[in-house]
Amino acid sequence: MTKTDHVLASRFAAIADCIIPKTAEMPSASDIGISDLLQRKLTRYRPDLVAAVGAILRQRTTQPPADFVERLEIEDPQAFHQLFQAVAGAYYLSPEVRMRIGYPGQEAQMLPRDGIGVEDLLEGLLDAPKTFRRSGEDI
Amino acid sequence: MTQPPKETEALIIGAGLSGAVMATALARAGVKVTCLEQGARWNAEDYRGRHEDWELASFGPWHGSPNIRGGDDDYLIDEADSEMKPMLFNGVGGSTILYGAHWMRFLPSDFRVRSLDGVADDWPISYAELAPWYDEADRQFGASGLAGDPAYPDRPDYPLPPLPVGKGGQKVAAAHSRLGWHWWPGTNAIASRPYDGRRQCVQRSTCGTGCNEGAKASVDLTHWPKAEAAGARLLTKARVIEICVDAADRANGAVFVDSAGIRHRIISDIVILAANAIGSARLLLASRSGRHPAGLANRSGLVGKRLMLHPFTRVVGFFDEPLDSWQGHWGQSLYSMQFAETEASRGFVRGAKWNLTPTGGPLTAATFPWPGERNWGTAIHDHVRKWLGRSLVWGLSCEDLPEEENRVVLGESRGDDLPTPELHYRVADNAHAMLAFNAARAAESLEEAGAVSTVGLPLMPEFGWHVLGTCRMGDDPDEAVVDRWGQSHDHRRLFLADSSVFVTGSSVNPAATVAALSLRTADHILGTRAMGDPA
Repeated sequence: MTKTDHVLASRFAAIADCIIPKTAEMPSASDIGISDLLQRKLTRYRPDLVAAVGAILRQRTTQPPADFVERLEIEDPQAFHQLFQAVAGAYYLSPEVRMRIGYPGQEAQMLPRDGIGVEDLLEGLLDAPKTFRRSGEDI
Repeated sequence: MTQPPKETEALIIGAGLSGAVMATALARAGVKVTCLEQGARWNAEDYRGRHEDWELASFGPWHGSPNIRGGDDDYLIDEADSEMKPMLFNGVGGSTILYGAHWMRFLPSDFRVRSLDGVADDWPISYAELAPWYDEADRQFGASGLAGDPAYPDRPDYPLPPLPVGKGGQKVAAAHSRLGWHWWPGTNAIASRPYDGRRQCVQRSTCGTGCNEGAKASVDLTHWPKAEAAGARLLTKARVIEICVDAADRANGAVFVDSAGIRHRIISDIVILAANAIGSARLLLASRSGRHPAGLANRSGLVGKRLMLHPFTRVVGFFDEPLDSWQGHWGQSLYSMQFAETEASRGFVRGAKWNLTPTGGPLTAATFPWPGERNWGTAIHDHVRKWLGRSLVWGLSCEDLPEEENRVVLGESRGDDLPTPELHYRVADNAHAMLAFNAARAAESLEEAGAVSTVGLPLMPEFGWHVLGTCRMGDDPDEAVVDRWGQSHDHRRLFLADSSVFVTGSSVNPAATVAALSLRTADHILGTRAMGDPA
């Protein structure tokens, strides 16, 4: 990693922490290695977002990260949207984050064989009067 | 044009739902069928549902909007002047690759809007006339559901039993029973048991980015293998740029561009457009000539007009208990037609169809446009904690009435072989009133089900799931583009089989009606062919 890469990664982590800060229950973006996730995962899954983040990080600014994010949201909503999607997208790929929010990912499940769960409520509805509007035709 | 003409009996443009249904019906009857599809074939392994990047992909390369997706097979749609943004997919299977497979019939009143409500127009056909083809479409797509819904006329049993409604569905069903409001187990073109070579649903809830299991009825699985086995030829990466007519104004083929950029002319006895309500209108308008300066099939001046996009929004309810609501079929677990029919006291005509669906993973929670709240900072943790697995969502699909000002026109060509379709679409006051009314009722529904809070938006413009109208059906050639069988009033042997022929849009998901209409048109073509006329 070059010095420039280090600077950009550090800047990205600071910005990402503004978007996803640490709380009592949840780690911040940099706590779970957001820069590494961006490189390892998003480069493969969403190179378009990685490119967008690169362009955002190369913007010349002396603003503190929080002010920068706030300004970006107002002045360039599309760029903010891409940055937000990249940070949140990488964050919720983290196994630690998924464990903390209780999300195992989308799982294949067996369909129940004991009905659909509303059989008792359907009793009476199956013989209920028809409610559709009739148009005087052969229905 | 560097290739010699190719010959076929029926040329179908578009390999999505209507094209696949048509191709299968004609090829099985012995017709020599060629289908030109601008996109590619996909493999179920390409779909992201069972991969960790599923949710990220759904916001980018597998988004429903071709403009956001920006794939090689997509064409740009100029939607800057459209208050709803269309969603569609280009490739073998068309939008069935990404659809939720909510398998709904129109209500009888949907065919008689002018007679019953004094607005819009009646269809030239009725629910009863279309019912046999609905039945056949149910069989072909392996629909799962429960017959007996009081909101509908009697019908045969579904080929498959309904899917489970889940914890959330149980809560909402009970709530509606207490309120005395309609609800019914969801009808879906998703297999609840193994069916016709398809596996059963695994409740992964990723139908919207393609079904890895093949449980969802997308026509790349349900129809194209059968059509090709019966002899239909399917050419991919073949983008049609012009429909051709002969000296007698009969359709007789098309010009297409292959993946190498080479133009071909293909000759056919009949031409069937199945390119969706934007693509079909675009092709007809782009096939203009000195003889037809307004495009083909456009004597009425209605090609491209009366675009309908089903104004849509969602109301989310938050519960203080786990509901596992990221799992399930997506797909609808329940639907409600309580507010689908006109009721004069509500202050608007027509109505909305509601569908209860899973609510997605953490990225969906984080990116939802929470009204009046910032999405980032500590709020992101609050939003995800509140939403993930503990929320239920009603999707509200509203009927928009056909208006000539809502239309597809041709814009400039932007590096494509065809002009860019330009959409002009306003959500009418009637639809805004309908959205507001239904959102308020949906919040009541979720609160009755136990939600501790709800959130809704006035309109979600990015969800233009249903692209309808633009080439309406009707008996009067001055007032319609195609006749009651989907044949152009102006050009013999030119048919439209897709959702462009819709006279009005109903509030329900259109896939089952598109399938039924395409089957009906196929039977008509076969009937006239049997009498010695290709159309």
